[in-house]
Amino acid sequence: MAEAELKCPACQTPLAPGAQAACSSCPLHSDCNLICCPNCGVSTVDPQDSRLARWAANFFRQRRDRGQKDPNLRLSDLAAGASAQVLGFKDIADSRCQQLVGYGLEPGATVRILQRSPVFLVAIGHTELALDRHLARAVLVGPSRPEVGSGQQDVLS
Amino acid sequence: MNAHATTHRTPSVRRRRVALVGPPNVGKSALFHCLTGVYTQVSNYPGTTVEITEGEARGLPDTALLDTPGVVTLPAVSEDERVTAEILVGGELQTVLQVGDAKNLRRTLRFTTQLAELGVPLVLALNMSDEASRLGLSIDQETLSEALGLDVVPTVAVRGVGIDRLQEALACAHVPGLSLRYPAPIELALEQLRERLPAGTVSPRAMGLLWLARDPMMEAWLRERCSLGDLDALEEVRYTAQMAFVEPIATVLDRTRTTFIDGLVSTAASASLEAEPGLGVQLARLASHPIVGLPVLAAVLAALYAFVGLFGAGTLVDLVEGQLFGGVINPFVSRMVWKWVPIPLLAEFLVGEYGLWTMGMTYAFALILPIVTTFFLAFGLLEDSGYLPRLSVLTDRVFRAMGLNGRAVLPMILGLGCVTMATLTTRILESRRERVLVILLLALAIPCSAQLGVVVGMLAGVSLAATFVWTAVVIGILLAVGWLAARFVPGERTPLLLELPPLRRPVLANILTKTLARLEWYMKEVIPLFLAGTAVMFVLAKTGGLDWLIRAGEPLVGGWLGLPAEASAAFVMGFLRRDFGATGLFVMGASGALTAIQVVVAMVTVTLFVPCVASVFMIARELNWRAATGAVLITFPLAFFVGGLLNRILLLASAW
Repeated sequence: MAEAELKCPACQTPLAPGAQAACSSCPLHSDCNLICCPNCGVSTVDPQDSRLARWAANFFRQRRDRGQKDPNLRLSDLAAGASAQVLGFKDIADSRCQQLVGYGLEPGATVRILQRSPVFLVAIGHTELALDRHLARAVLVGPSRPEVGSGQQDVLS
Repeated sequence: MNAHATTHRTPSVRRRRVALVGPPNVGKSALFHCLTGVYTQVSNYPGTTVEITEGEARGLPDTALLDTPGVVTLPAVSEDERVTAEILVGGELQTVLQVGDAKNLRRTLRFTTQLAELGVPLVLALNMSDEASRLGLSIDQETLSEALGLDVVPTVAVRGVGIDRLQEALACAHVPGLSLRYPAPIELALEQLRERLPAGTVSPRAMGLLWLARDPMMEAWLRERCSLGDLDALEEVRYTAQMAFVEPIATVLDRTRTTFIDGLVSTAASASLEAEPGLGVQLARLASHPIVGLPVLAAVLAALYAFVGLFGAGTLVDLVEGQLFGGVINPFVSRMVWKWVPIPLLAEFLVGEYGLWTMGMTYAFALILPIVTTFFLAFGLLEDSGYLPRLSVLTDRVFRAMGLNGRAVLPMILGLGCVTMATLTTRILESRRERVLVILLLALAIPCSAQLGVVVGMLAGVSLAATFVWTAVVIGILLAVGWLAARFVPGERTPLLLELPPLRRPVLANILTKTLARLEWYMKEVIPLFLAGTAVMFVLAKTGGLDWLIRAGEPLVGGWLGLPAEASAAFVMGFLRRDFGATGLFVMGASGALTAIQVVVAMVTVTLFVPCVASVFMIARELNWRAATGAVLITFPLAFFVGGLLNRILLLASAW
């Protein structure tokens, strides 16, 4: 998730929510959604802490994203029965990528879509993986390369 | 995040410790059983093992084997994976036995490269090699073993194939000769880190690589042992190394490993043309199909209902309770006791209305035992078939409404076996938020096997419609509470990511062993509690406390729930265990004291009733006491509220 940079309104020092060393010594720190600037001490509201602000940010981001054409082909764009080659990942945390790689969904691997709903079912070699649309969207794919001896057909629709 | 919550025993004696490590559902527990003779649960779904089991290795002197929860990759993501990662990084292991899936050689080897770098003696067992050869894969172990510099042994754990060779390999396990060359900036960083890292059980190179890849377990481990200045120096090296690459270092490391594995797989493994998809594959397709999957699920549930509800709780209980206990054993025991025990009060304590034998033991052996036996048999069959993980595909959408994902279906279904064990299984969930939600729902609305059997047996005696009403109400409450709770427990939903094992033909021996092990454990837990509960009831009955409770409970039980006043006694029993209370109601129902509506209301109320003592303790252990108290305080009023409401609605509906 792309987070808007948060800066101190008084002195423009960049702030990292949740990483303020001073907070732990403050008697009011539990359940406090203010961030104190380590430089000048001015407190400001953390927009990530507000449900309303998060919802609004999400809403505007989705509107913006809908306008743009996505140049990448993603796993979630493929039809059931299609095969493709994994190229990389986008928009997910590194730890999540590592997990996908651990399951065999690594760049270069050939992946076959078995089913698209209610969740995506894909086969990588002899591993069968269930993942939801959110994760399927994060996997970038391209036309599959013919694999030696696998006897698999390369259909990309 | 919560690494301290998990406990594993530290050994008191200095012995060789060998850990079995591998991905979930690869057969570590089956192999563990082969190597030690210690029985642990074996199933066909990921997350069967969530704790570390230790056992003496057979044929290897002074060696302890550790069975660990499955781990997909390092760094670990969920709580159960973290247990394993801790053992690997700081567990003082002398040998690691990697259990890999022969079918998925690339995945296996990827993990092998990670483990080989730890600098601990390593042996690789390629398990399920029979499935691999059936799929037309042939693997050249010699080539693999040479390239990796370690012993590679093909095994079939469920049939005990390859165990002798594995024991030999373990006896002379050595540090693998494999050493991958990473891009120059990383090698340079590793060189610099070598001098700055503290000594540990794993090699400095391994530590360095984990540090560079930002493994959270390694970072926490170092933070405990290094001064702030040292940590800054380590951070500095990592930062410099990262400057040389656009991508995160972890990705760069992965690429080097991938290149190596690509080369190795192309020389060591060959696949003949893909085999025809077998019956199992086609059935698996149907089971997770968005439309056909639902009738399949309905058929599975109907079969479960027929076997446990009609056969177990109906026919078998009639036979054992009615004929054997009611007709033969209990009259005989009563006669003997009255004849030989001189004190009437004591005799009554043994065989009276609330007698230890006539109530406690009869409930446990004549009612609960037949029901849980049929349930555990059916459940074991389902577990071993590999059907359960497919449910998470079908139910993901439902769980999404509750702020969870389909993975949560596994602990929920296991809760039907035993809520206490399922509370432990929630470790397979990634975030603490998901664990809290699932544990709450387990405590609230998931009946455990004995209770479920009693409930279904009793409802089946009324009508099929009664069963549907009960199911609809309980599931409705589950969804409503889940939906509400998700709104109150802060945090984000984690996406669904789950490996589905192939559907397999269950092995009868495994199901029987598993059922026996579960029955023994269950009876051991149930009998003392049933006896204690009976004793409490006896004292209450004798002192007049029970009459008082029945009178005091009259407005709630009689007025609000519309049940006969005697049902209060059953609810008092329900405090100890829900199934004890349910059994009390079952006996009342069997004697014809309850109408159809009363049966449904009573069953709904007792299903939602307070969780049993054991599961309250488990919640306290896995979360904290506040959560445990909260679970009790939420469930108790809710159960009565819903029961009373249902009573009103059913009365209105029947008056129509």
